[in-house]
Amino acid sequence: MKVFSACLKITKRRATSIIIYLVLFLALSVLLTSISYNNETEQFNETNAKISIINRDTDSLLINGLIDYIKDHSEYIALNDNKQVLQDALFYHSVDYILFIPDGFTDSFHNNGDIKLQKTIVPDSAKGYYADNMINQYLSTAKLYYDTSLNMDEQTIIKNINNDLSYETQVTKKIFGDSAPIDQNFLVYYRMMGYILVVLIILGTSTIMLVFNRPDLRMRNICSPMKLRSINFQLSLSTGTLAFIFYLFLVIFGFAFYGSKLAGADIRIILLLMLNMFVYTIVSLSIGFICGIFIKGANTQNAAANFISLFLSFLGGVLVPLEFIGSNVVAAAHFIPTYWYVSALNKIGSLTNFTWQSLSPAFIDMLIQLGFAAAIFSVALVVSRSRRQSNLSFYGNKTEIA
Amino acid sequence: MFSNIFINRIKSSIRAKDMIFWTWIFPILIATLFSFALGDIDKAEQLDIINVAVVDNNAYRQNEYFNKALDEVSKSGDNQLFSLTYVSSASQADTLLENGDIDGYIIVDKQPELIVKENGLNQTIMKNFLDSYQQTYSSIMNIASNNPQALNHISVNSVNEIESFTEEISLSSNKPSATVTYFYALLAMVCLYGAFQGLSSVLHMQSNLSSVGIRNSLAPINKLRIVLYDLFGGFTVHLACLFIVLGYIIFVLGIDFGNKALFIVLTCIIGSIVGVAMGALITAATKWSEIVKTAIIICISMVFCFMAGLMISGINYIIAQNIPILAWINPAALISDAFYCLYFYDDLNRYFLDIGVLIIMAVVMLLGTAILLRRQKYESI
Repeated sequence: MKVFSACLKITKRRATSIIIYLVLFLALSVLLTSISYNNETEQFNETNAKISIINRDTDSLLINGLIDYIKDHSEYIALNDNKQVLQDALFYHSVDYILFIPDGFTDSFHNNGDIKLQKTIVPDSAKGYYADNMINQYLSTAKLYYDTSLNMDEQTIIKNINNDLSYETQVTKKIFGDSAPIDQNFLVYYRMMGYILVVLIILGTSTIMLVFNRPDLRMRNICSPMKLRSINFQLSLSTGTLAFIFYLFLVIFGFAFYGSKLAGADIRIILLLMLNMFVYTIVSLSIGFICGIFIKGANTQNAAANFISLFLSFLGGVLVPLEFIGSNVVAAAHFIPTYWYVSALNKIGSLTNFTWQSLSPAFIDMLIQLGFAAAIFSVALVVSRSRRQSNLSFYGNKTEIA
Repeated sequence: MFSNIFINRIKSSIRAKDMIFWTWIFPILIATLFSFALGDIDKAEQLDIINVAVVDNNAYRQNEYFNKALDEVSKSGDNQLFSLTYVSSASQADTLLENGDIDGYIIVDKQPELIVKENGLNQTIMKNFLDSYQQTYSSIMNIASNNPQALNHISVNSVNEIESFTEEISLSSNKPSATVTYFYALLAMVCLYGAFQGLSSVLHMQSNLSSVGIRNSLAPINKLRIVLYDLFGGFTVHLACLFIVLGYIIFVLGIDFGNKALFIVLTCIIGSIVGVAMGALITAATKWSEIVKTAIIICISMVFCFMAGLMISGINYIIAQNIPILAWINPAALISDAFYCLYFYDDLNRYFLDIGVLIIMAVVMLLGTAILLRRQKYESI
């Protein structure tokens, strides 16, 4: 196993750069995971809009009541009344809805004037609609009371409004299947692996193959008494082992980080997720293998790893969920293995029973991934065979065998 | 002298395939990818018609007001909120819910109730609709019980129609967009990749690393002048690459950069100078091999660009809010913020602040490079 141990040595020498990538991407995935999802709970929880209020009117019972009502039913974000601060917050989605209460609104409201509240929202956004509804509901109820209850004092009116608006519809959350739904963060972490596994495996495999494809080393190895088949077998074994180590590490990290949130989740779903990721590891290995044939230097290695992984993950639905991607692009994405990884992941995540009928779509997606891996490996073998026999492998030196 | 170095430098830069790939082809590929993948991301937050089922039982049919209210929001048109499916039993609705055909279903017992499978905005909007209906209904009942004559003032449609008390105003002439920031960060990345030009210019001065360096050290002219001319040549090539990428993003991909064309060009020029200066400084400050220096440049630029929002839109804002100093020392964040100011702000104060800080950075880095290069001597190589 001389070649295998040489591969280990190479990996050890380059461990620093691989570890830097590993840490960087793990941090990235944890960050992405933690900011992207609200967790599912047993009870129904409302998804609140982030609302900011800029009150330019004088305080009044009506306005204070409205502000309190909004604060109770939304995620309230306090912002300064400064145009750029407000612009930034809206642009970067730190708020969904900014409500301006203009000077003189209360008087106008009571006297049927035409001063309206002003709002700034992300155009046509669902959260903007929701927040708008809430504000209109409060004010129309208030209007109803002010118009019809002339003998009632304002404090009682506000109390009545609050009383009426405290009604909440009963919402039942149905859980299909026997187990708790799988934690969303855990699923997002597995989705991120569609990106990270490819980068790491391309970098890992190409680091080893780069050395063995160096023309002088190639020529030296061909001269050696070891059979070419044995060299290739050991090379494959070492890249495969490296890929498996990455896989294991990422799985263990996933449990270490999100394990506490998996209580009550069905173990079969977790095992299926791991299986899907294992299949994807094989696909990544095939991609790493074909890259390794073409890559000639450290720069190309970085470029290829970055570009290929970003390409696969953007189009395959890893970094941007598939539902946000245009339908034409999704149609094209069917030709990318990452799409099938994410597709299988989504199907496994929403499993409620384990009949063959509900499991088979996920298994089919995994089989398609294996098909991709087989296809890429075959292409890689053909390419590597033709390159091995061409001048390219020998510095362009004319030799007897080329 | 100047023209000799300048022209030869441009020739050699154009022939360097690695550099052309990183500063030209790589950004164009990524920009194309962004435009494919992020095309619909702004639509992701839009309100879509929500699929709802209603259990068509006796209680529902008898509740005339609720019937009407639900019909009102399900009418096809611009204001349609729900797409209704009538089912005869709860178990039928359960099947639809389990298969994901509907976001939830409504069943009327004494009051309308909602059944959902998961938390979400659509589910919240459904609940919000039912709450509003019931709240308005109870207000009217409350008023009627206190003051029956008041009912004359209330229109029949009060339960179904809610008056709008708000009007939309815009804070900027351009729409907020999650897509454009990715492209701004990408351009910031290309600017920082000017570092590769800085790297080769200084490499041409380091005798232990390149044969051109040995040749240059022997030349009987001021080293600083050679390096400045060389840097200027590199900067020219890089700026040309940057403009090609910018042109591709604006004219081929159709990304909106606002209408302040001159300032956009100025931002590219300053950004490019900062990139070149950064590369020069990193190269002058270290004596490692070219591969290691390249790796350092790629890593530093990637970290800067990540913090400027290249991978997640809005991360630059989160950083600027929580650790402002990190936003001010990150050239990529400043460059992408400058583009953002041109797109979204009406006045240019913050834009000039960004550009000012970038100029200071460039000057400091160039001075640093000059000082470091002055001290480098090679007694034996």
